[in-house]
Amino acid sequence: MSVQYKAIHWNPQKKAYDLVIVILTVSYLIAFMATTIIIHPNLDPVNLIIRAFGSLSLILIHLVLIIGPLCRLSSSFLPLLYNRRHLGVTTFLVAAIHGVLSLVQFHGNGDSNVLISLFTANTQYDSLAQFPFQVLGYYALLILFFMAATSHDFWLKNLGQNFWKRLHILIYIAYVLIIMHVMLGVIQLESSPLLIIFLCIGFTAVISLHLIAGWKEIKQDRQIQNFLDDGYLFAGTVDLWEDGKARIVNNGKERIAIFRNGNEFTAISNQCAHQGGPLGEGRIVDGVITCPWHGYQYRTNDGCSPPPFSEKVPTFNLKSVNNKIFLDPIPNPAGTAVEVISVKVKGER
Amino acid sequence: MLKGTHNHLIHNSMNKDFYIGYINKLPEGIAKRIKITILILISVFVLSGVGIAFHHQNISNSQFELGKLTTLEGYFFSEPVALIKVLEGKDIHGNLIFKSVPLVNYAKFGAEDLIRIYEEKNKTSLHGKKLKLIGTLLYDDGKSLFELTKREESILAVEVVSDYKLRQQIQPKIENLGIQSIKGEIIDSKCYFGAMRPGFGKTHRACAVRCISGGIPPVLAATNYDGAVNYFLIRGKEKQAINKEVLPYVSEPVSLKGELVKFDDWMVLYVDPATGIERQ
Repeated sequence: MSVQYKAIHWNPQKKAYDLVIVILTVSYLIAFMATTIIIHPNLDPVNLIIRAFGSLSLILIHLVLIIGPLCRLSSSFLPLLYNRRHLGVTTFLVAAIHGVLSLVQFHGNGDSNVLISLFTANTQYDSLAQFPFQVLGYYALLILFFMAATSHDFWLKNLGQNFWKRLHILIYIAYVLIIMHVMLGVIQLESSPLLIIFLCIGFTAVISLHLIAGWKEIKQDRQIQNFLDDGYLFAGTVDLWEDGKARIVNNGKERIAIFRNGNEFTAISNQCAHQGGPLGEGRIVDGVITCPWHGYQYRTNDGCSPPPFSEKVPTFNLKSVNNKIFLDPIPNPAGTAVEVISVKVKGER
Repeated sequence: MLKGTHNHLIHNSMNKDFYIGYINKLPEGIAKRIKITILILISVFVLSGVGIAFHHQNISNSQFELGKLTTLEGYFFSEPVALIKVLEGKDIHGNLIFKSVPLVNYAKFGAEDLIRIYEEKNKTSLHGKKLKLIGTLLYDDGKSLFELTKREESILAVEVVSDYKLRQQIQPKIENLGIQSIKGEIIDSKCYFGAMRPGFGKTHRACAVRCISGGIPPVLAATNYDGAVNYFLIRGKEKQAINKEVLPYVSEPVSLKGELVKFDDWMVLYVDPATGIERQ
């Protein structure tokens, strides 16, 4: 976590994750290139590499994009999320090989600077059939570059979580540009239906998973909260809580995670200070609330990360009446100590 | 994170299925699911690689003898484009048969500037002379081009043709075929006939623009109903190069209207670029 800035805080899981990325990348390239060399030996080597890395980056970006909604739908996919930024950086590097080689191969060694040629060789922006698809790929690569360049926690800390998140949501703009780049480029040259089918499957998977996950989030937020006269929200009866887990309630503006730790109840913001992960979907591990995304932790009594770490989240006040938990919906400033209420849960010693 | 307590986690039943990335040993259930996911992903990636590679289309059979230098001898002419006529043999009447091989320069440049500079430097004209050249051959579909890979040093020898009869025999045989309108795609001859595969179509457009802009002869590739392709060198009405003028139309379906002339074994279309090119 946020102790000192290293290039990467390695651990066995990250190494295993990266090894899987390498295996996936290499196996695809070998499968693609070997098949092409056998079936189409006349495809020139540079074009072969351009197509191999281009198609690989297309598959990788689909994988990157489906991880988020999959994790919202099932916590079984959380291991895919843990080191997703390395997958994102890999996607950029693979796309960059495709992009740079394409620039040199198609625009280089001629009578013009490659970047000037990129924007002047084809200016038919008013024609769908002749649209300058390479420019779309260029802008997509530029977005991926900025995302890869700011993927480290150093930038997350210094740009601020909100700005950093907004910058990384540009992945969706990059995705649309890439789809258009492929549709207006190679799909128009290659008439095989398989390529279109692959693209449709990928696009449908990304869109539908996002819609399903989004709908689930909307439904969760629509749960009606009952307000008391004194402004407190009714969060539920104590028997609804599993030990070590949270229930998430919505105060109309944000989600709040109310954790049960034995007979104690505590409430903090649902949004992790690291990358906005859903703290309420985490667990209490060794007495601290642990985020399901990257394992960031917060103390139950004040929402602060245990030393030497410095993250903190807003806390909320609770009260209990007749085995019912009520929440004060107004947040305390991040890191404020609160009283952890103690309620004996029936049926448990 | 709280060090030294990780070993508790896998035995804590409430955390058995809770994934924490920095824990060294994963809970069994999670480890098993991860292994299955990895196997599925590898299968998807490999099958995708094979599937997508299987479905490349439009890869031509053109050849570019990259890395292999060839010595070629022939008679140089600057019309319709810079080319040499290479003696192939004789017909049954004893007439010499030549193959016209257009010349191109290294990378994405035409040979006309190189020839002009050579002629200025050596105060000579190469027109009608026998040249010995070294360079790289490209060929496809019955047509050949020759790249002057070593630039000026590709011209190894120049010989005047003193034999009158031979001088007559090497002259181009020109046949006027009237005004014609032909549909096809404007391609750059170097990439199409071997330097790049595929060397046509929208994905190749930018390269074709660079090549034609650099002086490589533009050619109209017209496919007939049987799938055979006919090739027409494109020149201006006054027989001048119109490379810059055709750039907006490269790699698109177009119709060219102009005077069609048969120049030995090449067809040439002399087009007014202002009025003779129409997008389809």
